[in-house]
Amino acid sequence: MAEYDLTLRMVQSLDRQLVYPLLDFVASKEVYKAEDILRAKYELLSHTNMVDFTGQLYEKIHGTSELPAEFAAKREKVIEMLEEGELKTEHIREIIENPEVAGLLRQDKLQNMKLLRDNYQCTPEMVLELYNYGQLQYSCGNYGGSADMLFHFSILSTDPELTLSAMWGKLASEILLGNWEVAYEDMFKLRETIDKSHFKSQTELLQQRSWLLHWSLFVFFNHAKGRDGIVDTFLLPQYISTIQNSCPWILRYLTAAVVTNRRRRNMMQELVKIIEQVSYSYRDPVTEFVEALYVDFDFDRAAAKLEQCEDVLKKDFFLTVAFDDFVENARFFFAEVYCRIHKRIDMAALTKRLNMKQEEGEKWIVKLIRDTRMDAKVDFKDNSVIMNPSYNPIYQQVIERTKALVFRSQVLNGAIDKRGNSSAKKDEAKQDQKQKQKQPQQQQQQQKPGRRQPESAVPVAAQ
Amino acid sequence: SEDDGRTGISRWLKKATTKEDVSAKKVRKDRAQRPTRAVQQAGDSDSDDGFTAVGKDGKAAEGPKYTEQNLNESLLALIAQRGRKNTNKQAAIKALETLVDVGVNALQKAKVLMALLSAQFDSAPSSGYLAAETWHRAQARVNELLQLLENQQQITISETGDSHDYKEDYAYKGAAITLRGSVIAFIDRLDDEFTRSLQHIDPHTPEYVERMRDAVPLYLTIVRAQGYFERSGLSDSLCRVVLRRLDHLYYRTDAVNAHVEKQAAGLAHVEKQAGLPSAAASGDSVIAGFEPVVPSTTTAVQGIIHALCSFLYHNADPVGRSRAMLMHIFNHALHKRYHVARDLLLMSHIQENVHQADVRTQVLYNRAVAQLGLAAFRLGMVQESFEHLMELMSTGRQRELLAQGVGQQRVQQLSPNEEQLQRQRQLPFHMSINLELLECVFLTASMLLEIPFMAASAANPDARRAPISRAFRRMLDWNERLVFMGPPENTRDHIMAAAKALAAGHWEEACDMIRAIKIWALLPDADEITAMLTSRIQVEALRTYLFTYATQFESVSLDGLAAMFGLPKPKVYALLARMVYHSEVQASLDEVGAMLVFSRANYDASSRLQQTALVLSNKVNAFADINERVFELKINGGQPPADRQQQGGGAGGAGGDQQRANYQGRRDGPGQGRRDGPGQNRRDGPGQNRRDGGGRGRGGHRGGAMGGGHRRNDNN
Repeated sequence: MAEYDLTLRMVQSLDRQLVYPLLDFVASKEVYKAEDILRAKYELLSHTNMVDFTGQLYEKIHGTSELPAEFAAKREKVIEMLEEGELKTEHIREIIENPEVAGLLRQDKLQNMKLLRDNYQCTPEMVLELYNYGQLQYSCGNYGGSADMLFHFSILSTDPELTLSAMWGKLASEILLGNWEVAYEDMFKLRETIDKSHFKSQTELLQQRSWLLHWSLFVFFNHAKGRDGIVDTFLLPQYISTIQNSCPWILRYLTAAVVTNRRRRNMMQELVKIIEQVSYSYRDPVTEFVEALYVDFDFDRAAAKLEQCEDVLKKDFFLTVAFDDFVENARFFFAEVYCRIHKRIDMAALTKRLNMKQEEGEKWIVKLIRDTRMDAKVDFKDNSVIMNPSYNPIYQQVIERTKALVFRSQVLNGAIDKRGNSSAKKDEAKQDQKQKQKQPQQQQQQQKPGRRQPESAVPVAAQ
Repeated sequence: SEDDGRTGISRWLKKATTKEDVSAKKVRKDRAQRPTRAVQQAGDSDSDDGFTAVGKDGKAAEGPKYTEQNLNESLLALIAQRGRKNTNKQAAIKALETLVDVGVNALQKAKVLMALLSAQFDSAPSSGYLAAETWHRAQARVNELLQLLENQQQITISETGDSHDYKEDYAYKGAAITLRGSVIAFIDRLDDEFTRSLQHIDPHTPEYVERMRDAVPLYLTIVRAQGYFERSGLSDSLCRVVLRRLDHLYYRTDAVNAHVEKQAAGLAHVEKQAGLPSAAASGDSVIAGFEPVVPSTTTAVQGIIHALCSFLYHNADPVGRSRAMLMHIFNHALHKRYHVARDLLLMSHIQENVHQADVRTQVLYNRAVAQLGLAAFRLGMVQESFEHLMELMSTGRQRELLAQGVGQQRVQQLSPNEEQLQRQRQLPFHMSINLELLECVFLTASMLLEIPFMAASAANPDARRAPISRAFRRMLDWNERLVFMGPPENTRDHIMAAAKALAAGHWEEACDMIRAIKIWALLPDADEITAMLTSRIQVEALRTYLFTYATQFESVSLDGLAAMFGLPKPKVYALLARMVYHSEVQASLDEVGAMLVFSRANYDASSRLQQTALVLSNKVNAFADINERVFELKINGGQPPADRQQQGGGAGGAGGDQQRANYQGRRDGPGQGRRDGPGQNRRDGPGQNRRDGGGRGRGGHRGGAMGGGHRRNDNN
């Protein structure tokens, strides 16, 4: 079932430590060989400073309880570095955590720096130390500390590149801590920064955006408002093109988000367009379900794909929670399209397609009809549903079209009079309606429509 | 011929004084390389200063008295004569040829060879081309020079090198030395002369085929030169030579290229046997380390093209980069890799500034787009194909745009000067895209889109009337006006007959007509394409049928439709579902009875009175619009209404944007934006006007502010 597993593709755009939960999840679903995953985990973490944990993994892989000497050496070194960082940043941390100072800080970063330098003997180097220390802490798995450090740094630093990098670090820390509320805000801040800042090349921008797309999945699928957020963010033109250019697999999450978010039903059309266009480079059961339903109108295939989705979603780190939601809403979309197209529906066939039992299906359909206030009736004799599609009679169409005419003519008329008045003041010789000039405007307006009546009356007569 | 020779010389003359002359006379096809060429000429003219100091008459240098000691002086004398009046060029060539043999060491030989090559190229007539025989000799000399440079790696030739007119050349012992000269210029010239000869020879003669045989040796020379430039690290020349190499590769299929590349690899092989450095000929080895040694398979050729292109993406100047990109796109499209090609085109953003590019790049762009259209068609993506080809085909100047000659009507309009320019730009025949095929694809695509659309808009008075393809509509109208119709003869007739049959629902007849077109055989996958066309025609015939006769039915059975159009039932079902869902027909499906049931609005629409009422209401609306417009015109004091114009400009701009957006944000599907663009604009424009005008009307008028208000509005 590794066919639809996205872990490998996602890894490219995620931070090492963010990959870890993914690997953990994949391990529990037994998609890959357990041994391979252990190795992958080890490989992943051996470049971080989480020495103890890496050591445990090493033991597990090699089945020994003895660690090579380098682990101990590395451990020593990391601890030393941590102490050094602690020492170096002590001064500046004290200052920043002082509420007095916090109150003095303003929007202008240069100003802030000057203030700190003049009053508290802070140098830019010290600020940079904050960044290094934050990075080190993150690397050691102390996310709370790194989030704080990097937050302070991003406020104080005047270097846009490092600030951006610090923001990424902060976001990762918050994600790993599970502070979804904060992460949600951080992510939007980051999005704004990326959109605003200038990158050297388009490629870099593309990379930043595709990172954001991947990282934000953690936030969106864990935050309460995430489902709205993901739809809004991912459907922005710049992110759509990022998805299409560099990471089409994100489409699965977007599709799942749109399907599970019934309030954003109008987004479906847009999504269908994108799916259709990307289908040559990426497809999985989730997108294929939408494609079958909205592009090919092949209900049998759509039903089959929906069944396949179950397996895919349950094995997806992000979507496994949303599984029930997805199936429920997918059925709803399915039924909606089905009802819109058909006049008479065989209930048995529909319930079968929706993968439900006869009775359960009937209940579901009746509920659907009631909830959506469709103009539909169930015919128990034939066991079918009869839809009464509304249509717009031609008479109504003609009325609608000609309705505005009277008003338009009236407005035009009024405008002509206005003009008549103003130009008359300039040149009286041109005016031949002298008595109208003196009449109050409102009367004129009433008169003109009367005169115009025949024109607009033509279509009305046709009714 | 003296006069001829004069201009011929001045074309190549390395003198600053003639630079203007040169640029006036030769408006070369390769304007892209102009700046570098100019730089080079300037550089060379410096070196001439050194040369002219030793001026002697031509006679003195002649005769058999050359020795290696006086070679240098004789050479300088010969060079000094170059470009002067009354110089016997043939004699100079002959003298130089003897000098080559006199030269005792590599340095002397290199110097003489360079002079000889210049002289040989000088002998080309200004109008016309270097005779095949002379060209062969020149090519042999270029190869000789390259060979020499391969053997004697301590000698390099560069445009910024030393002029080295020392007498002690004969005592040269093999120290590292950099001569002044330009190998790339020789390669350029050789290639250009080859192209020019092909331009002049009638492509339907054996002579052309004969000449085409030289393409492979020329290609090998280019590959060899590439090896030299890589070794000597002349990045600028390297880019140019790689571009030249691509020029020879991109328009051919992999199978053909594989054959040529095999020979190139063979060249490397031979040289290896001769104990020569192997890096010389397998030129790509530096560029792409991953490349296999013997590129015989088609995938390897694809790899070569990819490697060459990516080398240029990283190293070339913007012009070279976009040319490489376009060639890459063309090559992808040629091999039916439509999506890759399209994505490359969209991501390169070339279409945004191609209008400012030089003509040759524009031509290449048009070629790439045309090939893209063909690729889309071959994959059965009719809509995309149409969008790509539309712009090109609707101008009626496709010959000119693709640099494949000038259309008959246009010939009269062009001034002789322009005509000559056109001819210079013209691509050799073997590179051209078959225009008849292009037209056939375009018209077939138009037919498949336009016929159902016409039926739909006839049935529905609200539908947009503007045709999808004006060119096709015009042809169809013209065809319908014919009093006497003979059986179809050419491609166009066939398509028109098919279109008429399709409109009447006779899909089988339409299919026969389309299949009868012989030109499909030119496409490599003709069978697939006719199969694809058949199924497309069936589908479109069904749609057309429903649009046309919907008002006559209360319900239609699915089985009946399936039988009628030879389609499987599920497909009919899916098609109808699609039409219903998009409200193309006012109907819904009855699953139980397996039929399509039309709604009541549908038979209402059948009544003539109702239809007329709808049309009338539309017309009255239009009338009201015109009234408002007239008023606006008046309020501007009889002046041409500035705001209207602005709006027009705005609409045009928007159209342009949309078109661009097509390529940029391809997600709208090519051209969908285009179709929506103007329509939406038209719809929104007056509507907004109306609404706003209304607001003003209610809120009390403020003198002439109205006009201003409108203007502001329109600009939105």
